[in-house]
Amino acid sequence: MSNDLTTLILDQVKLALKEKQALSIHGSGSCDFLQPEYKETLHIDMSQHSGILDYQPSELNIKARAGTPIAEIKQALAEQHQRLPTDFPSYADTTTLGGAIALGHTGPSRPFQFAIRDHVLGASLIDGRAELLHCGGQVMKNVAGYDVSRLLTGSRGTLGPVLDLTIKVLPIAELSITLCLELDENEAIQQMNHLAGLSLPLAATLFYQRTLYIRLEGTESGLQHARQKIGGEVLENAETFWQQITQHQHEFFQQPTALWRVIVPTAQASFKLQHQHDSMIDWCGGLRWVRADSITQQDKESIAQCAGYFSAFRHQPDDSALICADQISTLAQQMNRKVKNAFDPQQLFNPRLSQFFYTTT
Amino acid sequence: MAFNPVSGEFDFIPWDKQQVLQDLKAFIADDSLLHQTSQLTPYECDGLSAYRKIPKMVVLPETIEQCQQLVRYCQQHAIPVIARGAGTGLAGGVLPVEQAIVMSLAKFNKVIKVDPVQRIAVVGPGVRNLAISEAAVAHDLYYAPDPSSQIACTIGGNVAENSGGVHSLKYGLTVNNVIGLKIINSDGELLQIGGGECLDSPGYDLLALMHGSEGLLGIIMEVTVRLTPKPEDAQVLLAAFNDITDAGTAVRDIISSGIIPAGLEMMDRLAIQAAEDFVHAGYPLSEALLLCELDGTLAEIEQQMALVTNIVNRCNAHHVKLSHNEAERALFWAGRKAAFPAVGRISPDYYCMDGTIPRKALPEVLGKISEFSKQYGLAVANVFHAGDGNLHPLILYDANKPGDLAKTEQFGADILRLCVDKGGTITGEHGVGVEKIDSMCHQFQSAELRLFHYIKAALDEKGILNPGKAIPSLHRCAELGAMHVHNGELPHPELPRF
Repeated sequence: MSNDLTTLILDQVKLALKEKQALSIHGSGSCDFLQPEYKETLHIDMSQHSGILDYQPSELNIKARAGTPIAEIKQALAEQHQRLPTDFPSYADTTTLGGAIALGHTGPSRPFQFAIRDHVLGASLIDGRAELLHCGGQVMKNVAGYDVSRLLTGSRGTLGPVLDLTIKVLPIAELSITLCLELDENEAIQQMNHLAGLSLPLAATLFYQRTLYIRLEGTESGLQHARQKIGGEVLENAETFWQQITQHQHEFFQQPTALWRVIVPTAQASFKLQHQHDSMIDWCGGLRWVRADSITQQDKESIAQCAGYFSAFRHQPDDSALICADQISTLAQQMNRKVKNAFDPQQLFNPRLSQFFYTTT
Repeated sequence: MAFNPVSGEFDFIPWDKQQVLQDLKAFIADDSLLHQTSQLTPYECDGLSAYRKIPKMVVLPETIEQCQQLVRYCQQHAIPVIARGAGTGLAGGVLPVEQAIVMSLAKFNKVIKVDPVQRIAVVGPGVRNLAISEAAVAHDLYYAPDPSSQIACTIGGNVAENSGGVHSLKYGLTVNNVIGLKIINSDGELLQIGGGECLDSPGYDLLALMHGSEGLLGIIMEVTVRLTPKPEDAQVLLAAFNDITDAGTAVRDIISSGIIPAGLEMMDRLAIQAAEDFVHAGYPLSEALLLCELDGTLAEIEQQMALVTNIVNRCNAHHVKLSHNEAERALFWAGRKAAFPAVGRISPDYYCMDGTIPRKALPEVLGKISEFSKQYGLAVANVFHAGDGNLHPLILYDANKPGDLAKTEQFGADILRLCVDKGGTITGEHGVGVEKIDSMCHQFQSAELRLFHYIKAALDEKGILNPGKAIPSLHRCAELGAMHVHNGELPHPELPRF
């Protein structure tokens, strides 16, 4: 489906600017659980602004409107034997490209295939002066002007509605297998880091319930070699397994207990939150998904001690836990505030979400 | 006003050298303050030596605190400050401007930490790119981005320019391989941005904003980089073509086949000839030469190399050779890596351009460059990072010939204009600096430039950090636009004309 709403969106921003009214920018709503519930008087629905604008497989990039579903992009790429360059989490079938970029999360391939921000080559957006801007481009190497396209990744719509994005794409590997090793948590963390230091075609590692899952992608000969080196059993239906992880359909994410996303250095040894039920270790050790009823002061201190940070994810008792700006240094918060003001001096866009970047009080 | 945040124009008030010297001596050692012409001359330019200006003063601080004090002093007295690494940049990014103090970060050349388990290194901004890999070699790790100046260029400069290299298609640019920075902002405060040793951090992606910002938004004081495991093996295929279009087709087909080469480089006839005469790499004389490097395990390379060989043969390569050992691989690369100095041997001067284009536009762009070459009466040698579309035309000229440099710059600007018109960009990895500042007016509209100025003004209100680089003032573009009226449409029409 292709639908160009540029004029309509631009008019909405102009109106908001004129009326000095805040605007809430929404995609498909698949990530609404990750932000406090709110509704401004004016509302832009980006999910209808959709369609692939340019895709030439030999150029290794795709340009699409922000409202294009990730699923549609994946399908177009798969037809040309290509794929998104890293795991774009789509927490529902309806997740849009713009939504995924606005959130900026990356799935299990993060340590090996970079973060999604690394693959953003260009973007068009409307800023808080109602100006339509084109930043970056469609080529991989581009250092003209500040890197606004990557800055938009993870900005939750607070810098303006993003109209379209150009993303790098990659060929689908010849083969993919997943190996399973039975280990305890600390052994698994050590093994993940050890393997990541070797020249192996690693694509993801994940530890859950005494099993270390190791995804490999490459040529037949490369995978054979890696398999001999790593050992372990081959996982059946691996594609479904990783899809369930990336899209949070796996049983671990479906439990009703509060879920926390804890970022730590990759080699950080096993640690438990005080009220922890269960955990899953991703990103080679750098991301710990933890199910725990609450996060205590002591938990916060131990996370801060290892220079990490945490944010609430699913099934939270109240919205305030979603915000993590208090873990940003005062100076970095000030810098965030200045960046926001440079894009949106009138505080038009998603004003309540700016609390993800600096404390608003 | 010293700095106009909307237009990006600046005009700094002259300061008294003796007074400033005396003030700085309170916190910086005498021998770290350079102020005599003989001491200042080495700082008059970077790798773009066509632009020179002797700075009024150079400071070589030794501690982060001294850097902070210096920036605070400059902020207080509205003195521009230009952070400088090794000075290998090719766009005049550290060219001294009127009334500026150059702050050399050469003394911050310590590798602070190599963590082989987490595969990261923490280094000072003055550490050379190659020195990071040298510090990690014992762990079979290396720092992947490899700009051709990697023996000399520093990581602080790499971050400021977001440098690439011949392996960036597979291993990424600087921005993809840095996970944390410590910077000094324009108020002299030190802050950590990015995740430190973590792969993610809360807040805006300030790390991305700092990369390629050419010293305009902050001064880089510490860099945490990702290290990459050294591949078990690597092999290079060399293929020669009688028609550059065939070489272009081979590049497209290699990429389309699902292979991501570690390096994919192309050279044209003049570049091949110059390189061969210089290093005798065994390049057959032809219209185009392709170098394709694959890395991984031996078996993996063998399997993919068979595919690449088939493709180049199908695309009418008349000469195909594979490296059979490390020495041969190094020899194949030697010609490409020496292409710039090789061209320097056949011409008194050359001017290196850095546009990026969609790969599909290559034959057309090369054809146009050849037309320009005839029109300007200046020869061009082309080397091309074919994998990522980054084109380096080297324009041959003689600086001693009156008018030659001006003609060369015009020729260069025409090439960059062409790159933008074909969907590319004016700079892939060298940065804008002072060199391409006018070409920025062609790539961006007023609204985008204005946003860049708002970002600059937000983070550096007085505009003291490396003013006059990277982002042109709107008036500059308007004046220039008047000279380049296209299809009767005046660029930046909303601006007053003088």
